[in-house]
Amino acid sequence: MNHAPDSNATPNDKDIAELFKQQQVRIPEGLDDTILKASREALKDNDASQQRLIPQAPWMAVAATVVLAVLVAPLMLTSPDTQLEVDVMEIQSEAQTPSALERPTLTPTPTDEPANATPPAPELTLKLAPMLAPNENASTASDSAKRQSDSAMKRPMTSSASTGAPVNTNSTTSSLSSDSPRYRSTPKSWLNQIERLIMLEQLTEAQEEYDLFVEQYPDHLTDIKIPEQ
Amino acid sequence: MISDDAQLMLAYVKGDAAAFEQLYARHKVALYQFVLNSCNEEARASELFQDVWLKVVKSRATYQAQSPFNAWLFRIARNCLIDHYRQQGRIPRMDSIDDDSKSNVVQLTSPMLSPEQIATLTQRHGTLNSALYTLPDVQREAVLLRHIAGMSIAEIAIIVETGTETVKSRLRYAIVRLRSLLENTL
Repeated sequence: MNHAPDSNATPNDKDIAELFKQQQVRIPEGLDDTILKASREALKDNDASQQRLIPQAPWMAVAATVVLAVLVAPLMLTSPDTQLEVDVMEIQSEAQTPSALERPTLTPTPTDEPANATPPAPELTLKLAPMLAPNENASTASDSAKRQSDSAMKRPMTSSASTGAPVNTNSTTSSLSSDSPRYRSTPKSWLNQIERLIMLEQLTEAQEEYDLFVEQYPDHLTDIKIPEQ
Repeated sequence: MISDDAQLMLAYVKGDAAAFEQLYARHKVALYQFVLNSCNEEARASELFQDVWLKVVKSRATYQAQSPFNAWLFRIARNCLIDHYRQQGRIPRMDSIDDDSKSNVVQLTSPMLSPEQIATLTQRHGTLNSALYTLPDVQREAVLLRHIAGMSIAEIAIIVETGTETVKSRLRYAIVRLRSLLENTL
């Protein structure tokens, strides 16, 4: 076996390497056929399952779209981002009215209406008051408020684009079906769930989960040992 | 960059059976040699060898082309071996090796050797095989991955999930030990 060039090579192990090179193993007859046959059959199974899915695929796509539309649309209307946009629009419309802009800088006079009689605009007052210098005139305040509200309107869009929904970058979970339990999303949480099942003495379920785990992550070493039932 | 092996594996995932045959042909000897030298029991080695390849087939969709195929393959093999050791509840030791199992491990490659050379090499390999089993598991594993799987120290470190310095140290101790045991035959 040839070694790739390796600056970390252990020195003076060429004599030992030679001994291994001279070894030749004899793979028992029949193993090759068994393994290659299994590899071909796995592909056939794959093809068969895909063919079963194909005629259903357009209907499934339509059904999925309808379900998503029904479920997601109401959520979007009531989502915090949407609510924020509504708030910002309210602020913007109020900011364009002179009375609202002047309110933070006005000196209270005895002739003013009582506080509880004024139209409620507490958010606007709180947000604009620290931003306005005492000597700023109304137009400057108006521009400043507009800029603030514009940037506030843009903020939710930017943040949702940059953070977005959690993206599963681990392609090893790609073969799991979309309705898999959440604990299967990472090896760690999956193993935790198996350990939990063992502690609860649900050994059959633990074994099933473990088998699925090994199938999904064959190269992931675990120290879980499921007790015999 | 995706290696040749990785491309073959991806081709197999997409349905190319011939790609798997190529991959199998490339790695079967090294893998069998690794498994056999690790468990030193021909019947068990055959089962484990088969298990490893069946896991490769079954888990083909989870293969990530960014990682080298042989590292993935030998990591699966290592896990199968560890499971085997756990089931056995023991680690194979030198006293469990009998003459039959030794004779199964070693075949001589060159038909051009004289009978004297064959006798010498047989003795040497028998000694090598026995010497391997005097090593701690981690050292034997490092030696087998290095000299049978042909892996670099960095690759071994990834497979056994440790640092390169640790791997170098294990190899150094193993080589010193093997050399002292094989002093008369090297």
